[in-house]
Amino acid sequence: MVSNNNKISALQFSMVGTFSGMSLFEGISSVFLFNASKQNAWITAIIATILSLVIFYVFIKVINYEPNKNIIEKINHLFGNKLGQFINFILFSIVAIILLISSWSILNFIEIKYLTETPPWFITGFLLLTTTYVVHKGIETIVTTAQVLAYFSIIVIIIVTVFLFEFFEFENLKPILESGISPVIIDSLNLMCYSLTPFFLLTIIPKNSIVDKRHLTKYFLIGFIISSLFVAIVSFFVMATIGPELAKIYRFPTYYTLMKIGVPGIFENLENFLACLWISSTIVLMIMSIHYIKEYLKIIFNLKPPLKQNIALFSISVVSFFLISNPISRATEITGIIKNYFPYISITLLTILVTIIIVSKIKKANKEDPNKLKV
Amino acid sequence: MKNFIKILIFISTILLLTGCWNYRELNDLGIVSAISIKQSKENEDKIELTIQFMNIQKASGESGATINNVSMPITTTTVKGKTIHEALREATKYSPKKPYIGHMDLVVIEEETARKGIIDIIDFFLRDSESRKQFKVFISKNGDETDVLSVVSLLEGFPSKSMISTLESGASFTGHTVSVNYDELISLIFSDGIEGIAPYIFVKGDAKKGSTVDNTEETRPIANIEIEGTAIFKGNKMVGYLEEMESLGLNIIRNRLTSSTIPFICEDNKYITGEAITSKSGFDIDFSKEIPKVTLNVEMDTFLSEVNCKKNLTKTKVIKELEKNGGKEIKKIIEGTLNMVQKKYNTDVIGLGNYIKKEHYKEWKKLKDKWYDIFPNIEIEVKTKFTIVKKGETILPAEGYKLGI
Repeated sequence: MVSNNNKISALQFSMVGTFSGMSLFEGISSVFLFNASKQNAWITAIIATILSLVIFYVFIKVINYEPNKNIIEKINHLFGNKLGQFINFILFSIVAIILLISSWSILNFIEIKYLTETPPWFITGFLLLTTTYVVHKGIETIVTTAQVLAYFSIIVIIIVTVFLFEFFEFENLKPILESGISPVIIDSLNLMCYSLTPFFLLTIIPKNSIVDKRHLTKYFLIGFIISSLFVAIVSFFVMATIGPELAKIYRFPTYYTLMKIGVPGIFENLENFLACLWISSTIVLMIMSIHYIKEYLKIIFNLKPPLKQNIALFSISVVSFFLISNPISRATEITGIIKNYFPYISITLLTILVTIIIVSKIKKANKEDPNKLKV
Repeated sequence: MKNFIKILIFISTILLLTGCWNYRELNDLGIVSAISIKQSKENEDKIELTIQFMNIQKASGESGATINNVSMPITTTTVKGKTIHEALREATKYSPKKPYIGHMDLVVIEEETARKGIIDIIDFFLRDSESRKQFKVFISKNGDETDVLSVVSLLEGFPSKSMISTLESGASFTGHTVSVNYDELISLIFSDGIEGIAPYIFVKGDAKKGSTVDNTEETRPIANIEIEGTAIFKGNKMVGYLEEMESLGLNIIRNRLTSSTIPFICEDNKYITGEAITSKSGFDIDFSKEIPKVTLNVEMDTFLSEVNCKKNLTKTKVIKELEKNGGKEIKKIIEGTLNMVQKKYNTDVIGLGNYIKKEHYKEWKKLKDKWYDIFPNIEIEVKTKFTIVKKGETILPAEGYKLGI
């Protein structure tokens, strides 16, 4: 192993999920959400939160199955070598896509808002340097990083809520559900795809790595709901403050909303807090993605010596560096591709997870009663 | 060896603390405080910008002192380009510093250009990451768009700051104009059932002399900037102009009035002033007929700030009578506004369509496509409730004491 730092708490585990779940909102799912649901965006997000509870059950079931194994080992164990490797390859591809999408999104944001004249490779280099270092240090460092950032984000959200309140115009939230509930439910299913996919990355952490695993379901549920409600709260703030017309124009509407806040000498440029929060959450998502890919390579290629694992990690960073900083791959069309294909990625992921639960149930039943159909 | 590498890495991080990549010093930036925009007269496919740069060295001192030192706090440059961005870059030919619009206070658009449509002007400021989108937008009288940026004032060193202060005080204390941010204007233009508005600005006096230090040395300035009335839009095009009282009516209808003085007659050629403290308006709509019938309810609480007639203000009957007269005055003002926006310009700057969309969406779906066919014909009945809540520090009017009532 690269590091022996492998013990974490249930709270830390859930915080990684909460943070990763927030990361695909700004610049990715917000663009879709505000264009599709307009002033009903916050209702869409609340419905998505409720519907997400079904998927939460799926995640918990997968995490609880074979608690000493991570998702890659679980799949290999359940489906055998060939089919298992195939499924794992699909999951690896999905994680790689999540990594690229989140990195492109944050890179675009940094380039547009802050470092307009800085070469993208330089920014990418720094992002990857941070993430690779944390992954190298092990899971404990990963989750501690997420925990610290989560506390920071709570402070940011409280400050923002207090100062944004005076800009609320509740008229902006009308008409409510003007076309009925059906379009909102469809939009909420779409939104779920963006909000929940990052949670999948948590399955790479074996349940037995969690010290107080009896609290896992409780903390995980709380983290899961906070992450989903975060989208609802932010959507409410954006709509009530700037209205649907401006929200759908901007690529980063939340950032723009916070630009309105300004208490001279006390709280100015609060939008930069949000930028910090978003960059931090994306870094956590990148860390988890790279950690997943590293574990995948470790298991597939049976990389036991630490040196080989380090080489694998270095290789992931180098490949990611070229893919992320390549201007062709960050072209504007990518946004359209993400919008059109992300739901399919999420459905594939969900199908695999549900299949894992079903197959594990059947196997368990077969073990208990060998006369039943074997799978 | 390990410690040596750690120390080396630690020291090398110092190199990263020197600042951003390609950072620009404040002194290298041409801080733009205001821009005026108009379509070029000579070349119609070009936009003419007048850019007002801040004199940063002077800005560090007090604005008043700056002018008394006979050194101008601003400098302006006029440039042309096919797009706003091209024109801004053109400015580097005349200015040693690259224009930076992150601190821009306002944009002035020439009336004629606004009448042709501002859609081509909108995009750059929306897209550009340096622009903060909170700047004010003005529509200027034709020919004054450049001059309004040049007139200097003794009370406020920077012309742009002077314009913003004048606008804010005018909109807040008289309601005779409107204060609109760029993002608000864009939101109005893109919304259904409501149209854009912007303050109207012009120069009164000799604009050329007003741009010199002489203007600050006279007790009566040679030139002044005046902000009066409201430019009104239909879509992205300006279609007309509301006078002071019509603008006041608009502010009352749209619940934008913070304060104003409402003089109304109490005797022959004698006036009472009611200072509006709060004003609230709302629509009631009857959809039973093909063309909806609208009732506009206005409630205004006022402070009786000046009474120039023989009225015994201790009597309830008198107060009721004054309230009735005040209500009639507001009704007259509002009806004047409605007449202009409905009959003359046929543009829904009062936001009636938007109200129907938000509160009666099903009806809006039926009306949306033919909105401007029916808008001028909608009967809007104005009901006012004018309440005198304060009467000041004296019991009777001065006139009353003289005559001993």
